[in-house]
Amino acid sequence: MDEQGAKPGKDLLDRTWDFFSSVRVATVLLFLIAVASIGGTLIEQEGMYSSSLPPEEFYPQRYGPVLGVLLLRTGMTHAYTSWWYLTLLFMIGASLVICSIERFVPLWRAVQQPNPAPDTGFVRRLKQQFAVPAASAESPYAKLAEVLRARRYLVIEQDGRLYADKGRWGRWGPYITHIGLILILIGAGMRAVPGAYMEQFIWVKDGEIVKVPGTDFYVESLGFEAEFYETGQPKSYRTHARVIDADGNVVKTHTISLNEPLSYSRVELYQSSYYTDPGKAQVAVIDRATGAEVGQITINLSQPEREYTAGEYRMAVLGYYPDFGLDADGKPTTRSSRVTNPGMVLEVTPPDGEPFTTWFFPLYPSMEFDPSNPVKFSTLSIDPVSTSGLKVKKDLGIPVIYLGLVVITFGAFATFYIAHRRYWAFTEDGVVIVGGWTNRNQGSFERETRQIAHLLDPERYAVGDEMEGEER
Amino acid sequence: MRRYPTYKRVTSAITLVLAVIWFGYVLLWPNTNATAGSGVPVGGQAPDFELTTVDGVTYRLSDLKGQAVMLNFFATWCSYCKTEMPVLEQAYQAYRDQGFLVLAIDLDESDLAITTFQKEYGLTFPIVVDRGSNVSQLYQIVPLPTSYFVDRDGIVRAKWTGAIDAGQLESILNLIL
Repeated sequence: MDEQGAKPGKDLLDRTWDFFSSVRVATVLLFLIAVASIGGTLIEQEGMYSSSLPPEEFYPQRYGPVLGVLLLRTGMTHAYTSWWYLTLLFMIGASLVICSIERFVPLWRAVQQPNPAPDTGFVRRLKQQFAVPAASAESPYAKLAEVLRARRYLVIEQDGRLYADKGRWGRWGPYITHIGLILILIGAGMRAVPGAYMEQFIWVKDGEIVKVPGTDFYVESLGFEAEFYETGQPKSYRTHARVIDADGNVVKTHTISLNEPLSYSRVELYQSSYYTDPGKAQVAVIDRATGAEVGQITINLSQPEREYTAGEYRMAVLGYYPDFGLDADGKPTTRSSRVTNPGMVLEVTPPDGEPFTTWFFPLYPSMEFDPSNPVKFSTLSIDPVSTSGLKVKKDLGIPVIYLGLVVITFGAFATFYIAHRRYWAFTEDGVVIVGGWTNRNQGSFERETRQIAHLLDPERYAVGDEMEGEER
Repeated sequence: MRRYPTYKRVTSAITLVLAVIWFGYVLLWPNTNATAGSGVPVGGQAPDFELTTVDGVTYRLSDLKGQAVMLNFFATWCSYCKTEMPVLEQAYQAYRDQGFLVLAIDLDESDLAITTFQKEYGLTFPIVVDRGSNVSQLYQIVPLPTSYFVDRDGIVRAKWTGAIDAGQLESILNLIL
């Protein structure tokens, strides 16, 4: 490609063309994209790092105050969706299109509108040569044209000259590949379009209905199941789920497991994680003095009632800590949102006698702060409740990317397996002089040329044994 | 001066038009993935929602127009939330007469965990529960606590993540009161 500097007189449109048709510019763009992509891989991206800190605090802490702020300001913390990364993609796309057109248009003219009558010197200089007697004075190319047509050549006879070619598609291969690459770029760029791309994570407890983010429908878990081998290794994780639309209708039922995502309105839910917590606890309330059970209560540990009644005992829940712990001041607190170590403060009102306050830990009922209370608790059973972690994915660019890959495959096939073969012929003193040209696979073309020559003049052009069955 | 052929000039023109559209989109559209930041944009309308306290009192954001509202997304297990609760309570007491309301939004915890927390910190402002976490999704809450400051016209004037101290809260309140 010739360097066209910004000469005076070139307007904006011409200069835009010069810029994007430059291979040097394309190389620089590819280099920048590579550097940015490497950076985006090495630097922990927003939403990917394992810390609950907001990005504004996480990055200065992780990379130091200067570099951290620099990364945040430049958008390196979300490199693939930053405006400059997408701008680079846009520019490489433009460069790809314009570089392709720059070369495609002249090539299209040369291939689709060939000159059947070039300079005879040009024909003589071609690598493949043979000369055969003219078929007749009126139509010297009759036999040659027949042989070439039988080999699926497109034959043009014009101005006393002959031109024949086949395999034009082989020339378009690289451009088809470029179209595929542009489709992939468009598919990747669609991530920046609001509503076209989403990746989220939701937790759905057994029996719970959760809105799927970025959509107007809900997913309900009908139950999570984990299966294990005898060795304890996990065999499979499954979530029986159904989709409920905005009007409350069940529109789909599906069991989500590995490689079996639930797919609804172009959004896919993948089984990704789970945890199991204590669910409902069956608790016996026991009279300490007599040892007799005064009644049983069922506590839903993920949503306890405010009051329970066991026999004639009334119990009001004054405080509840799903994950009991003590804070720095020694005050009770909950350490997480999960029911890992539930603790509750109960005010128990016996049928006769004064109300009193006591702690109760359903997982550790024997742990008591005041063993002189008139009642004690015994946990009879705890039903586990599972919460399934589902990855929510939506990427409308994926079909476009696949289409791009298919197009690239066609392009590569055309590039590597279809050879453009051309013959030019002219007559001189009752002899037809033929020159042949191909863009690839010279050996095969040479054999085809010799076979054609042999068919037209078997005495002069012999075909060796190795030629048998050579025709493609 | 001879110009390039039409097909080149048309392609260049299309490229330039797309570039202008692209930069306009990136620079003028405040809330896209392409630009930094996440959540509800400052300067935009606060998305409306309706949530209920554990005692069954319903709050709808659009009904609170005329009041300056601090939406405080929190959870009882989040230690930064605990740190800032006394600050919020103090500010609420000081400015409620001027139409300031703290609306704390709990991220889907059990009623009792919330009332325990409320009692412990002596909170008098309303706490609504975001069952199913739909509102926190709407506001794209990632870290806790996150607060949005909505002015009397329902416009988001500021966003704060992490524990806020009295001085910082004071200066943001000047924006919405």
